[in-house]
Amino acid sequence: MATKKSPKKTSLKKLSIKLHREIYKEAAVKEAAREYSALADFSISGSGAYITAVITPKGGVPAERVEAEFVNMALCNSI
Amino acid sequence: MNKSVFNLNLDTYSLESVYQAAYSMLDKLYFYFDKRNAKTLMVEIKSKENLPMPALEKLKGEFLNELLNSELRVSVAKRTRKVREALIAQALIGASADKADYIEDPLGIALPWEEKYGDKEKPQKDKLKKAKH
Repeated sequence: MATKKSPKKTSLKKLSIKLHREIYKEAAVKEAAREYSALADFSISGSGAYITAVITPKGGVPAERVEAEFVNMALCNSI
Repeated sequence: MNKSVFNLNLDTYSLESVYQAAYSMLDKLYFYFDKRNAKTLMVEIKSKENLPMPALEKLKGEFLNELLNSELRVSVAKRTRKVREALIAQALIGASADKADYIEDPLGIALPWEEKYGDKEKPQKDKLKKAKH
């Protein structure tokens, strides 16, 4: 099921995203979080088939864009 | 940000080829994948440049074409794996013969035919003629 929650488009509020373990590797997700740590705070946790990432943007970059870039990086690191 | 959501059947496309196709378009699109069930992969794409829907649909088409290319490459790679492994193994074995020296030429393969046999008939032919009589 689609498990994305985004409170508002181009919001600066925190949002969470669930990434399926069969597609995204946990180490890759953590590495992506580390790479984007300058733009947002990340909280990564694992629950069953999914890895949950809670993203809290730090500056002027919209949360939606940080989230999209973060997910792309997690995918790239998983390949 | 416009987005397009669609499903892919994992019986048709392997996850490996989905990865390859997505990787080739990471500069143009944001991807989000989720597994609906064992056979269905949900794909969500968003344009990086906030393009209108028709342009995003065009990029989706490009992604699907790239997916077909990747699937073919993966399939060919699987089919030819044993041949490639055999070729590499043979090449490595050949390269490991450290005592071999092309100047020594122990089998005499560097000699032209005329130098090696002169005007003589080929020895195999003689043997065949004798065997017939």
